[in-house]
Amino acid sequence: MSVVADQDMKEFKVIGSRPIRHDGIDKVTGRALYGADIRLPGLLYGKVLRSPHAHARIRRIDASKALALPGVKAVATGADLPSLSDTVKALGEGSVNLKYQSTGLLADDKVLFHGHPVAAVAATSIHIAEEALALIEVDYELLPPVLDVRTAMQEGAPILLDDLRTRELGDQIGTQRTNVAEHIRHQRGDLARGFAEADMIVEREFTTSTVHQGYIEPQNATALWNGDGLITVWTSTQGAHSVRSQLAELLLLPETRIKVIPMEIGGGFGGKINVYLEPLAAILSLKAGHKPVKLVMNRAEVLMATGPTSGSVIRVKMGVTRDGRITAAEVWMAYEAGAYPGSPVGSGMNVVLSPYRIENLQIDGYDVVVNKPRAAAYRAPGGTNAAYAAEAVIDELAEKVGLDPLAFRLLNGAQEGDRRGDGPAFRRIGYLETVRAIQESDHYRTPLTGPHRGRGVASGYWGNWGGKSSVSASVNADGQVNLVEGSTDIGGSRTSIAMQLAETLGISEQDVKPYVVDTDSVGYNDVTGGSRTTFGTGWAVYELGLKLKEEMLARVHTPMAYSQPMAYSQPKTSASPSKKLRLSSTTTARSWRAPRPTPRNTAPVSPRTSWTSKWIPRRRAIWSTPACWTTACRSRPICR
Amino acid sequence: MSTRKNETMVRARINGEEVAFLCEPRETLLDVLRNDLELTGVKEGCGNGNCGACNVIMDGVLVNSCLVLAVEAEGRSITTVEGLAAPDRLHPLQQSFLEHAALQCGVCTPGFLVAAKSLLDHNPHPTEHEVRYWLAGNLCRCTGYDKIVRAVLDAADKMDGN
Ligand code: FES
Ligand code: FES
Repeated sequence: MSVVADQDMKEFKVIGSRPIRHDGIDKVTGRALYGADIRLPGLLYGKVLRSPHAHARIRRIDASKALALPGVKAVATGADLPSLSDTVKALGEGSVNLKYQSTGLLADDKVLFHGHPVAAVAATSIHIAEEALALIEVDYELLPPVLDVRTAMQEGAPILLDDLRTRELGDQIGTQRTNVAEHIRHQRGDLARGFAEADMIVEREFTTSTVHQGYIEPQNATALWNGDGLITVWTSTQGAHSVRSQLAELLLLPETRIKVIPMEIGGGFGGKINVYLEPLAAILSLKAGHKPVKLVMNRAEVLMATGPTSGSVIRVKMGVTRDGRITAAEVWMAYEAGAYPGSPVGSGMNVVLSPYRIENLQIDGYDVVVNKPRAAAYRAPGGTNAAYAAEAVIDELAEKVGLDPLAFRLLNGAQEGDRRGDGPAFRRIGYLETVRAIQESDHYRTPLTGPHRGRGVASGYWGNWGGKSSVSASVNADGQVNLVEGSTDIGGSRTSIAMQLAETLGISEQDVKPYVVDTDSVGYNDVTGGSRTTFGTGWAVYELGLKLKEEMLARVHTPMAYSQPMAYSQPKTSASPSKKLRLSSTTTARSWRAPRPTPRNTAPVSPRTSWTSKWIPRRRAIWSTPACWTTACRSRPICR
Repeated sequence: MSTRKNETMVRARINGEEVAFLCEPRETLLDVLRNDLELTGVKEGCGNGNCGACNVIMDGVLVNSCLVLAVEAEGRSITTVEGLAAPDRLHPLQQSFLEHAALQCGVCTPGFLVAAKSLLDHNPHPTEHEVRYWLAGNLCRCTGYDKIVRAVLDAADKMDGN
């Protein structure tokens, strides 16, 4: 990747500005529609019955009394979902075993966490649905729960999943029943020699708790399984296409039959990638005679049955020479996966010591099931626990050898060609340059005065996931652009993407109207997550802008048969109007007032566009057909 | 189709208009505002008084509408986010939230705006400390609060100038 120099930055007109976001007015007036705001004709309201036990076998479920309650239209249990094989699929920011994902949605023969869905009801009102839940009889055989990773790994610990065997160092599969789903190891150099060379060794153990993502908007889903077999789902999600893929896999349907309409999303932080309610709403809609069904969690359900990030136990042992060089490091990390395998321990292993150049290194990671909800992505999944443990030990080592924390990092920091903890070599990362810049900064050098002042240093590694994005755009006769994208906008990406298209086209971002659309209306998009959207979807929109420009110039050339090539300019900078084209430009009003149509019998407002410039008289005719191009890009991850 | 039990008729003034609605005694004001009066700008984040996303002003008092029963609205005057400004304008707070980028996902925003409006109604020149204290009943997971506080202070300044 090329590095953007300061000089290039100065040429940007739109990037770097602070426009008012396109969806802003809807969001400050309450008009924006989030998933829970949707209403449909004939809508039924759903509610989920959840296990009050963290670990139990289900002997029997009897829903007959609930079904007999007037107003109840359908009851669904695990038996209503297709039974899926043990296949692992990449979904969202991680991968998932479909059988486990399905039994996590609606329990099969066992419940594995407090809040595990056991049945779901659809009724004509939410109150009736709640009453119906109380009428469903479930006979549980209680089993001892395992609530932390240390206990779960002990011999003789209660076993959650009878069929689980440890995947050990790649392909070897254990033979014993276990709660340890996987053991991964990264290793290089000679650990014993490295520690022998050390003048000082520090070893510490860290425990981190289960933490929930804590978005303000609870999960929601509304589904209509239509009589023609087509399914429409309205939901607040980080990725509409990912919801579509998950539904297709879980319901054994072709993706094409499912349309997911992303509503506004009230925060996700990784927690709104996995589906929880969408398949239940779809099944209830089918069973209730093709009526739309809406499910919204309450806060208690969100906290007990969605997310969280893994709790973990991490041991870090490091050796240094007297002058501060790291000679060896050994890390042992065990992450709670929740009820089903799939904790982000692998990502934690990538993160844990990657900022440092360490010749003799061993990292062991364990993915362990416990009786809690299945862990979900959460802001650099698995990385924060790992960095916390490693950095605490690094701090202590620096202090013990009497080095300033930055000097310690300059001595041991990774640079181009050094290998990350998990193996791949860094390209140019600018880490040491950053450390030097901090050394020279006033923020680091100013003396600390007054009470409660301190200064801390920590380093971390994280990658940009890249991923796949599709966008399309239409240029309208007024010179403005409709931009269609599929990356759900969780905090302003409509605008950051529109700005990149505007910059490429040389128009104002207010002349780009961005829309986040349903899965039928745009090509495939990966989730909004993994720090990828502004970069990945931005890359797609940049390529789209280049194509648009090329095509527009070609179209203008052809009928006019100009002999000299034409250039394309930024608005208001056109030096020589005889050779330059421009799209219209508008400015944002400081104070918003809804625009009104001009009343009859008054002079027309002068057009905002500059398309009527005199030198290509028939240009309007050429442009009256909207032009539309689509581009998709698989962006490259920054680090390999 | 009505599936309600023991319906009660309630009359209230909502965003300046006389409104009558039917509700069950167990329904909250939040339920009725969102489901019956289609004021879905009022959000539900927790349903238990913790997050402030459901804030409305009732007879001049800032309340969590999830903790008010709909029948308690009888004869009251209620302002929701939808009633902060005339339909073709923004309230200075709304404008200020946009300019200061005081929202990311935006789901907490209606509650913050209503709470801030109530603050400025009571205290047109709040200090930063007073703004933070007043808004302590509203949770925002995305922004880190700082931009919200600045937006409120700036709106107070601008309203003062008018
Ligand atoms: S929904 Fe009322 S305070 Fe959270
Ligand atoms: S902007 Fe997302 S919770 Fe406040």
